[in-house]
Amino acid sequence: MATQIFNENATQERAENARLSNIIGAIAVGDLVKSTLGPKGMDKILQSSTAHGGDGLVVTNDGATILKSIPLDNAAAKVLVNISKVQDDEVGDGTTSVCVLAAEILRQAEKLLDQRIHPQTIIDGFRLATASARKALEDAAVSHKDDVEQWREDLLSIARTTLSSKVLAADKHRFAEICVDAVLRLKGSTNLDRIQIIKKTGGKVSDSYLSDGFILNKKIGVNQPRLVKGAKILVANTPMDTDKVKVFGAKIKVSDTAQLAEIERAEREKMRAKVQKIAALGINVFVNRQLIYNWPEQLFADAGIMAIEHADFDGVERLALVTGGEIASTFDNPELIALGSCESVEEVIIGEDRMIKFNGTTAGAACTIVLRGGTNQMLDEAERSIHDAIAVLSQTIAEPRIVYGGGCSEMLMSRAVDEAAKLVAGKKSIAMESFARALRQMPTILADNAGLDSADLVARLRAAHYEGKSTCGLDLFNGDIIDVTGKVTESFKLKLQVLLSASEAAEMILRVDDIIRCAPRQRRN
Amino acid sequence: MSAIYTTDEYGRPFIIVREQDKKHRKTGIEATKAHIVAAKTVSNIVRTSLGPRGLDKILISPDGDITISNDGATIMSQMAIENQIGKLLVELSKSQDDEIGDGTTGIVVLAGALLEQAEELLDRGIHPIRISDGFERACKIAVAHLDKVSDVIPWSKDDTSDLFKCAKTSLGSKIVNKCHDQFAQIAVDAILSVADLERKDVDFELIKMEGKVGGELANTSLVKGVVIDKDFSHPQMPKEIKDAKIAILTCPFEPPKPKTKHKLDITTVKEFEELQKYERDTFESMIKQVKDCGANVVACQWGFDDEANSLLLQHKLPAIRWVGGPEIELLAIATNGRIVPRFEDLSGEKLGSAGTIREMTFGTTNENMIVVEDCANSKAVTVFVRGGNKMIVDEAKRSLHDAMCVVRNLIVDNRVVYGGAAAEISCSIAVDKEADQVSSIEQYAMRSFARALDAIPMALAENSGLPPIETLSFVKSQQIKQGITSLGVDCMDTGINDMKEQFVFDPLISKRQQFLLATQLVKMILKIDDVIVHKTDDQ
Repeated sequence: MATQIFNENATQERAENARLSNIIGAIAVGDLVKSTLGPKGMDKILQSSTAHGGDGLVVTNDGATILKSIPLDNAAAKVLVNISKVQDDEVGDGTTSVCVLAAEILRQAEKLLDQRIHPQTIIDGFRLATASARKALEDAAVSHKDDVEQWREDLLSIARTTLSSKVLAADKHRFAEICVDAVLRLKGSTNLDRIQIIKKTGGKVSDSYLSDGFILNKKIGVNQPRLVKGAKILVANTPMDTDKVKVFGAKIKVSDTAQLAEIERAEREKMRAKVQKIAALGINVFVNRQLIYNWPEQLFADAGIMAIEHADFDGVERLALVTGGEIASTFDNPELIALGSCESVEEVIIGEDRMIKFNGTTAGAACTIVLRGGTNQMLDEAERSIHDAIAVLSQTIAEPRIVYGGGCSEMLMSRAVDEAAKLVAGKKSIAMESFARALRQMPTILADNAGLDSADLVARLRAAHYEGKSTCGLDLFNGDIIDVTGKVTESFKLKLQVLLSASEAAEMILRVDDIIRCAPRQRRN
Repeated sequence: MSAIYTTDEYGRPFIIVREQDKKHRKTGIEATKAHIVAAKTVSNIVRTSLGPRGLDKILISPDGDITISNDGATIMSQMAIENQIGKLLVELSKSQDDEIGDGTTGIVVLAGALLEQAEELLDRGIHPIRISDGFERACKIAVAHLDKVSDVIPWSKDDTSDLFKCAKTSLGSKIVNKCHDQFAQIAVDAILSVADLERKDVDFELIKMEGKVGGELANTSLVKGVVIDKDFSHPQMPKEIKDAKIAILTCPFEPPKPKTKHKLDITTVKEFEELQKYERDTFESMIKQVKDCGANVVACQWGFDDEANSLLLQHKLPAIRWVGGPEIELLAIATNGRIVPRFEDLSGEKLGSAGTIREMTFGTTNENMIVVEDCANSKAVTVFVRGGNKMIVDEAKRSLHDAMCVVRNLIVDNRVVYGGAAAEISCSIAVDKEADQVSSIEQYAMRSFARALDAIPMALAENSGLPPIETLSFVKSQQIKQGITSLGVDCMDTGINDMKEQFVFDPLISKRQQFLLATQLVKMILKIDDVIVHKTDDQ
């Protein structure tokens, strides 16, 4: 006799059904994104269901972007989407790999479950496997941070590896240079907001460049100099429209128009005093986060100061960083205000828009990349690719170890796991072998996507690794096994995070034997 | 079928339950049995989560959010049970969670087993009240027996190895057993740093859990201080401060805002100018007051005006704004500072002090947190949980909370019983033995109670992939033969049945509470003989 204990719209899946539904969900997500993996991976078009004009169209190769955009209704699939998002936040790239690896591990686990092995035993085996894979990866990781030239070469190589699977693959050498230079300017900071990307349609992708100065997407006020040399810059965040009385509840009450005029004059005087105070600082460029009204703008023009209004939060912060000034809101203590400086500030035209360029900046801890391209979709995808690359690079600077790509690291880990499995007694070793197989799936997918004979290539790659050539990887352009040292490089942190996140997620999904779905909330229309 | 009615003394009918077709009614044994089936269904769901090899459940909320958990109380409360008896079981698990914090799965399984046994007795025609009486007597015996088989574990601030082992028992069934020792150590350290050993009291308010996705579980750490999920108010403030003197404020760096309704009219230019001067002076005096008392960091519960923010930067006062209420209290406790509600009240002795305050950055998203470490008072700690995805971080937090509860219980009462269902088996034997000496019908109920206790080792064995009946009879016979009450089910397949050697401990009060609460609930369910449910209108 079954008794209804849940709401009638709730569903419950138990034991085998629950496991099956989880594993199928995870594999479906893995299969969805796996064709985008690697330098020969394909892109996807995402058409948003809310068809507001043509803006819902996205063309992308980025796993996190794809997964974020798909409304999934499977619990395990949601876990995979989450790890992909975390990977994006943590390292910036490898968002596809992490999903595919987790799905492959679960695909192997499904076979083990069919052999009636207890999920916890499988998990124990996977844990041992993860530990030995991790050790192999750590042993293989090298750091060249002390050797300046080699270090730069490594960074370029990492950038090339990341970009090679993206839309920018054709110009990857050029963009790798741009990304590495941009990241090196940050001087170790991982705050990517400091790299500004300006997108302008028109021109070729290869017309993109890293500006040697800093570009602000704003206009200079009327009647003000268009070029300032030896600029002294004040970066401010202060109201330049009307200076309101901030005391709560204050309000102006006058009995006749004469008084009103007087108050108005007083207000103007106050603004004039403020402008004078600012001008007295000896500056010739004034950048404000907030609006500047016509009256103060005119005052600035009279004083020969270039006034730039409405530079938003990011713009002000970046400017403060590049020029070395401090963001000020009070001007009573001139000695406490740190002014920024640069060689010149000028108006430039990019595409058909006027912008302001700050040349020869002193502090220079922020920079601008100008992206050009034929269509909006192209530019958006290029921006995502650049973002991925600079994210990985900035993390690599924080954790300088590198490993080799092209399936090399995966094969290395797979071999280590296989060897460790031989020393483990009991059913756990079967699980470890499966884990090794899942790792080998990564180069297989890479080769498949490139239209190569994956079975043959991966077998040859495995043989090469067992012969001790532990730096061998796939050359997907020629369909051969090569020594990938210096050719395909990846960040150690990225690979490690992929391994750990994927196995953690797989473990979590495997542990589940029951899915209870509450009745969906009734939506009122 | 129309309404249920009866007649009054004049023979006129009057209605007791109106609109029969809209109501749903069950009476007598039929009602009791329906309840038992419902309770069994619920307990069967969580049964597979029991023990170190138990599995997890995925719970999908009405809005599609996912929780993956092994914690009985969490599973029960999130599965949105609509059945009335099911709801009682949810309450049961919740009260165990509130009172003890651990053993929330076991209690539901025990209640389910008791009801299952009661069903058989009902089939034999034994009155529900007699069954509850028998259960009551059996429960008394079991609880008394628990006291007998319990052991006192010695611990002190320097020797925490036994507390550590108990925490490990609690964490054994959770996904965090990947980093078993580390999490157990965090739980023990966290509790011991905030525990008031003289009063045997642990204030959980002093332990804060902050989670951040990224990294892996092994990166989880215990911060002896406070972690605040905020960043410094001005981007150019220093990111690290040594030997900080913190002014903890609950007043905003804004122009004064009297609470009473007021009106301020400006009628002349002079007034206008005076007001502006006043405004500027207020800001300056605020900063001066902070500076004068010797503070070099400001933590404020409210926001800052742009001008004030700039002044703070110019006067080299790094500041944190919008610090939440609980965080600011924790900060005050940790740094031995006082929360100051007005700038005028600031003084040197009210400042909190900390060795370092630094900003931590994570990954590529530009998210920061502020860590206050080496505080004057070590009594406030923060557990900083990391993990590969959101669900695992949440589950790790819940697991740690359970483990901390176990350690807390041991500080309150340091008696333990042995896990691996050793205590249940031993109680079952004791109850069985006593039952033979009872001459009334309750004898049957007591035997059933003993059998219900056996359900726990059976579930453990089943979840661990062992043959349940064989394992139970083996362990039981060994317990009787050898007279050792610490023999239990060897879930991890180590070949050792003695839980004393495997170091599987549960706090005595947790087990006792399980027995008492489960029996109480079962008695209550057995007493219900009529359920009237109003059917909801279809409209």
